[in-house]
Amino acid sequence: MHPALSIILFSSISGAGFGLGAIIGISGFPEGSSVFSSYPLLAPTFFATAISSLGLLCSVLHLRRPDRAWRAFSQWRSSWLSREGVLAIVTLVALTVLAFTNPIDSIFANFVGITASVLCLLTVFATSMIYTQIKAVPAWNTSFTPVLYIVFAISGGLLSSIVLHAVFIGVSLMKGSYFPATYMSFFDSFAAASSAALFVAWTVQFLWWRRLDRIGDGKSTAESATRIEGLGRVHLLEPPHTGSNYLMDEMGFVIGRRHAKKLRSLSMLIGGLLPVSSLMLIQLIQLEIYLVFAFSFFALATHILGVILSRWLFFAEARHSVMLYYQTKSN
Amino acid sequence: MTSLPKSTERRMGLVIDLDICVGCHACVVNCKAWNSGGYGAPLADTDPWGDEPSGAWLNRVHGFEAVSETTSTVVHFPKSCLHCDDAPCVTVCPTGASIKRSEDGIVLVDEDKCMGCGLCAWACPYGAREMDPSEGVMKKCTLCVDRIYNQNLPVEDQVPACVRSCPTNARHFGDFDDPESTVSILTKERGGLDLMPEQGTKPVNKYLPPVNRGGVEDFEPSGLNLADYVDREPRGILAWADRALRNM
Repeated sequence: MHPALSIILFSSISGAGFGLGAIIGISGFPEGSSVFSSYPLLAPTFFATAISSLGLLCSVLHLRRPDRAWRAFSQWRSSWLSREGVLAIVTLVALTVLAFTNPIDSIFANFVGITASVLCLLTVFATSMIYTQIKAVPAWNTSFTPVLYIVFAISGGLLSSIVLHAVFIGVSLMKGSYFPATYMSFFDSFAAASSAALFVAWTVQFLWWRRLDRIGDGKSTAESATRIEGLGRVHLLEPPHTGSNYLMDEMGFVIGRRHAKKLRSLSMLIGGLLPVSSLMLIQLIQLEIYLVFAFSFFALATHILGVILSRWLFFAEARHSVMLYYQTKSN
Repeated sequence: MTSLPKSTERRMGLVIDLDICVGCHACVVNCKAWNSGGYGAPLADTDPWGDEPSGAWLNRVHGFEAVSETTSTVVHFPKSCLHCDDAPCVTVCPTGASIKRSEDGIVLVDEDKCMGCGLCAWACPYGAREMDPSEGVMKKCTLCVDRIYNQNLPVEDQVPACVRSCPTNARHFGDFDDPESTVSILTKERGGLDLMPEQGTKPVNKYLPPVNRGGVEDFEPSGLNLADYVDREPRGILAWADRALRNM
């Protein structure tokens, strides 16, 4: 499948944004759960909504007729893409409500927080189902795919939240205001959770790739595609036209597979090993707060870069059954 | 509504006879001609007279070779939308542009609603949908819905353009729910097949497999040697011309 940059950025960035939303939703209340819970939630939720919205806007770039995008909210009964659109809007509203929720009313605040968290993860699930549902692409058509998207949303969300923790601690220091010792322990526990999440996420990605290698091109073959199997092994002799076409441009990407194994390792290195090393450095060495921020930001940036690379492979390595009508060599 | 109808009143579709098709591309050209001038977006091309021509077509003919130990068979293979009963392209559509009609089972795109996301083309295992490069909306075979019900056309023209133009009668149009229709009878008698049945799409269109005419073991040489006709020495005036030309 052709790896379109707009869609790759859409799923990687909106995933991290909604992941952050989910983390704020469950750690924003009650007071004492995180740095977030000591402040109004306006600032962190602003970041979560901004990042998710940026990702959603990237997806609009993929449309040939974006003026009609509003129609995509209508078919939620049958279409996962439509459900994703509806859930994204509902989730952004829930995050906005969360931003202005008064933490004194703890029962209501917890209700809003948990609802927002669940909605964030449901939106990521709906995003993953857009790909999972497509039987013509066996690489995607597995319950592993939603798991993959959700674990990466959580790891991206946790890494974003430690960057925000560093910012909050830094701002408190600059103002010279009251700065409880618990803040640093919040940071440490979020960093530990991030490392664990990174490990889980890349393990799932590794298993997803293992499955892809095992299934190959799936059940369909050039013989089942043409049904002339009674005459022998089938391959394309004469293409239907001399040039390229939409199907070949959209579904016939091969460059990705050539370097797939190297790119997989590279994405795990950039998106997994670099952020974990960066987090360990913060834990091991007593750093100035601006360096803590710098290393946290480095961890987040490298993680997102690695995810973007692995999402590029998600498309580039996936083979569509229509290409069986274009293969000039029989298996 | 992009939910599929539970059942359709009729199941209109095509039977394509792979034993007869000679790969002349007349159906491809007539399909393009009719659908460029009829309703909707004009089925555009990019760089049509340049070095890299490309464009949207609703029907394409591939040429496959099937190789066994004793034979090598070339099969011309026309491919267009199969108007599946369980069409995955319809249910994925987020805007309501893709529909399967309950009256005749034809899968259509409402081009005024399509936002050009391309997800339906991904969902189709057969590659039956192509994006119009100029309008940015999805195009697909309409089973010539603007011909088959058009009372202003002569009766013989009230069939899809590809069926009308086929010089070998390799394409047949009709209702698969009517056991007396040509398409039902052909499917029954010739063992009409579904493409990629494992994809679970339940295609309406059926393909009649080519007859296996046996391998080279069954081949009886006719004793005809074309070289006999080529290497013959010239006689009469040609012999004189041949000699004269050699001596020049």
